[in-house]
Amino acid sequence: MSQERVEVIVVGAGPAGVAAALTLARAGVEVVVLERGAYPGAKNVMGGILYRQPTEELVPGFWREAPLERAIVEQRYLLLTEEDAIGLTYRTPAFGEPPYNAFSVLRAEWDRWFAQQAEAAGALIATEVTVEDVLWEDGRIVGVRAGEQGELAADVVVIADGANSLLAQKAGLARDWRPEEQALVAKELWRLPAEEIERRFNVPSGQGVAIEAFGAATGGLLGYGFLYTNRDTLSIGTGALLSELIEHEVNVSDLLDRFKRHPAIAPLLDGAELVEYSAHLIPEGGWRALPTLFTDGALVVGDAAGFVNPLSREGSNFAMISGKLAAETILEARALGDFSAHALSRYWEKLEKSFVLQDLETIRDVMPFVRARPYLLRDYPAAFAHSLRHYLTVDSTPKAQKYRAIVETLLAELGPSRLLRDAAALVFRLAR
Amino acid sequence: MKIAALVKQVPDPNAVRFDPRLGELVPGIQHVVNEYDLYALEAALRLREQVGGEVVVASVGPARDALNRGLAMGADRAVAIEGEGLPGDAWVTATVLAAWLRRERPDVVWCGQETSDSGTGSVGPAVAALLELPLVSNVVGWEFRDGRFEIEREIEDGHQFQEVEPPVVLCALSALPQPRLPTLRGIMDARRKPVERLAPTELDLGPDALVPLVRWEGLRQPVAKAAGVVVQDVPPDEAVERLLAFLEARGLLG
Amino acid sequence: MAGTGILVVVETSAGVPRPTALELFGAARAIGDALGPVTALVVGRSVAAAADQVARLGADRVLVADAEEFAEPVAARMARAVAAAWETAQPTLVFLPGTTLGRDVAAVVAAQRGVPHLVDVVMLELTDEEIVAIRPVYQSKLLTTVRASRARPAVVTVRAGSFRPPEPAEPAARVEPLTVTLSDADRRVRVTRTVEKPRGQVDLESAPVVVVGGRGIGEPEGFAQLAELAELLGGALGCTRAVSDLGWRPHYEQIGQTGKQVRPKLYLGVGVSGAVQHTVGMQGSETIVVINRDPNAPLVKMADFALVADWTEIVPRLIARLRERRGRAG
Repeated sequence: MSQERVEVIVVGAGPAGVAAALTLARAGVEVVVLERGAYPGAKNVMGGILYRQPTEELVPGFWREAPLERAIVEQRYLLLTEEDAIGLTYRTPAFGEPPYNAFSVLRAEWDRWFAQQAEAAGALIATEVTVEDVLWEDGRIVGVRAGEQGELAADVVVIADGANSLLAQKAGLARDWRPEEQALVAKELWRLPAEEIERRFNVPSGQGVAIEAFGAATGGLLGYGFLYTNRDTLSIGTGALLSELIEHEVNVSDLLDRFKRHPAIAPLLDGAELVEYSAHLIPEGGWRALPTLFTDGALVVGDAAGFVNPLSREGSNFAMISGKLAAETILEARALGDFSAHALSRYWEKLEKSFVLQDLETIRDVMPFVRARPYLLRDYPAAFAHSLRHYLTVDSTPKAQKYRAIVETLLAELGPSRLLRDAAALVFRLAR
Repeated sequence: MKIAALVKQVPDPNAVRFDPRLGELVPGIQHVVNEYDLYALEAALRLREQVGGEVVVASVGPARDALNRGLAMGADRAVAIEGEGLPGDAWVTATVLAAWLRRERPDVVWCGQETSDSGTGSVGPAVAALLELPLVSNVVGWEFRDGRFEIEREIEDGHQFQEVEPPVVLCALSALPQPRLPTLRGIMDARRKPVERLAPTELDLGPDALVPLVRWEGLRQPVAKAAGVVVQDVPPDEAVERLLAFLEARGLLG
Repeated sequence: MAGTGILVVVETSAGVPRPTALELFGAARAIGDALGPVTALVVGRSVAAAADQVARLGADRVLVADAEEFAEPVAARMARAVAAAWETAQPTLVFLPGTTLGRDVAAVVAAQRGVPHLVDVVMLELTDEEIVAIRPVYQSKLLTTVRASRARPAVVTVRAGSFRPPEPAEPAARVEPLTVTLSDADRRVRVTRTVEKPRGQVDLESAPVVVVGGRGIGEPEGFAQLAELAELLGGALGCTRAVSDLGWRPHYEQIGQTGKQVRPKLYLGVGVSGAVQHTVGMQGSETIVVINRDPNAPLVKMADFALVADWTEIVPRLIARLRERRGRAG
């Protein structure tokens, strides 16, 4: 019996897989995307942030027709203690005008729209296909097996099956994941009328706010809380390293409940109605946890490759760009008729030249840095909050005396050498 | 044996949400194949596997994905009947399907008991009426032997067994065997199978035949209930007394 | 306007009218007398008593199709009976119960005549030009208004529990036999046997009280207590899909998206968390009472009265108290 074959199989219809399929289909390559869900985005009910520039590398002018929620014009960073909040806000009208900077999106809609672009370009997207293994022949990968749904052969397989990629492991490219390389994120979607969101967040129609919060947002665990405004919903969530959750015996949904109750957050959700809840793992291992990214007949892209910047939550950027670079590599390999590891190694070179690997390298020591200093997200917010409260409380104390008291508070709570050491170490690592 | 399987695409029932501002469903909900229709399709394929012949999967209104799914599962060909205003109401859908079925003359018509959107459950019975075919609805089991179906139905009184010979219209419930997932071969094959596109005029249906008899007008949410009483951390005896008092106050203890 | 008056089709089971069919007279009354006479059609075998009962529910005339051929519910045969009554009564509206048979028959007769069919109606109104009804859609998650022109007669199936059957009143209407001639075509579908539900059980969809057990019951044996509780409350026992999928209870007791739709006066959920799959089948219930260990279960939030407790602590006590009450009363 002859085996069905196509030129390229992409496993997973998330942003990375679809970016690869879109790029290949446009170049006239016969490509099939095998997706486990009922449709692309079916498993992604939640919201996220989509950046304009990398997305335009795939679909120029996408923002004119894609299902986008709001253009993000304001970014707020919050450092939380149990009750207090210290904030830094950046807002610019420029982000609210074409060509924009970033958008909030509902993943279910965005993923589906993006997949439709690939279909329109000629890719076949087959849903409810669960790929369980790769097919081998003479030590190279020659296709995939989907249990009782059978086998499909291809010149090359693009592994885009998301975090903790089963297929990357089966392909011998990734080892089993470790709890300290994974963050568990609990997310909720709350409905609130669009006009109320605009009033509450002080934005015009079509524009929105992204909030990222640290410190008590995660009960001091290594992680973050976030809140994005969608058209008539709010995405809110907290994430923390799995290893920390295990160690402190904390449930991530309890963290989220606490975050929602924080006095700086609760009024934003007031009167909203819960629509969805979900929890999922995202890779946070960064540079140090990267799998081997290519082998004879296969490439790994997106979350499956662990392309997430733990500092800036730019997973979908990394995913789309890595998918595009993988596709470009395949096109070159196809021109040569050579899909060996050697030919596919151009993928690595392309990644090195792009922000994907450069960013991961820049921050590769930050996670261990923070992990080695668990007090950063516990003691620092408290010390700063105490100082600011003291400074801002008008009580007839002369200012000079206040400054002195603040310095004393910081030194007492944090220790003088620790402060200096931490600041120096961080600057050194980021600027290297 | 020629077997027709009728399918419809419906908004994903798991994603259906109401937008109070628009007074409609939130925009952009993905459409999926109506669940009961997949069970009908599976039954059609099993019947063909038993007796031979062909399975034709057909739909009225936009249904590219549903027809592709049918072909990938193993249907031999697909028929897409598309035109302005289709699928219309149950009457229009049934009229169009009946016009097509008169031409195809299948031995068995399988359809889902009802759809998850409008959920009238009328299309199967109406098609049977228009074609003057026997109807067996609420099918939860079947056997075909010696040219005759023995069919198990689920009704209010329990399980009813009926006998009937083809041609017949059968309406499937989800207690039938699970629909198969398409194989990779099936998915690839589907691209090479014939899909016939028909306009109502090709079935000799003019605009008069396509006027809905029943019109929908907007959606709304059932009135939300006020938050109720929650009794927690109360000793069981007291809790039971409070429950009885509540039921008594509402006149629910006869 | 086509025709005059209302034809109410009374489906029977073992000679007894289905409770839902009696509610149709409440619907007929709600529409008012302006439409003209109400004709009842009672279909079944040995239905003389049923016809007498129906004659006191506000009908002006009762037609009886009493024959061996109507002993078992078969859509084509009942449709023939409705067609015969239609010829006799020339109605402007035809009401059928929202049962499996009623819905099939309504769809068949409406299609045969090319007239509107309003399905699963919970509220009904007439304007000069239109019939306006409210019905649930999207698996009962939402409501919609449906409209049909009154230029033609219309067929209406009424959702169980939407209208109250009227109190019986004298004088009784005239009862007359209706001759129905079945064709060979009507006999193509034959009923070979029916495996009935255990006797004495109240029909789930029309029961005033529904006691539902979920996976939280923990074991199939626990349902014996719920059955007793249902019996004491004058209701029926139902279950969630998880329970019927586990084989703890039969599929026909399942309530929800893929099971039955209920809207009883009292819904009592025990160990039911309230997945959407289930709640779409019961959210029309008048009063919702929940016994569940988990205070965050979605059904607790829907409840009029929620008891956060282990059901094994509550149900036996509740049964004992209800038995006491019954002892006093009887």
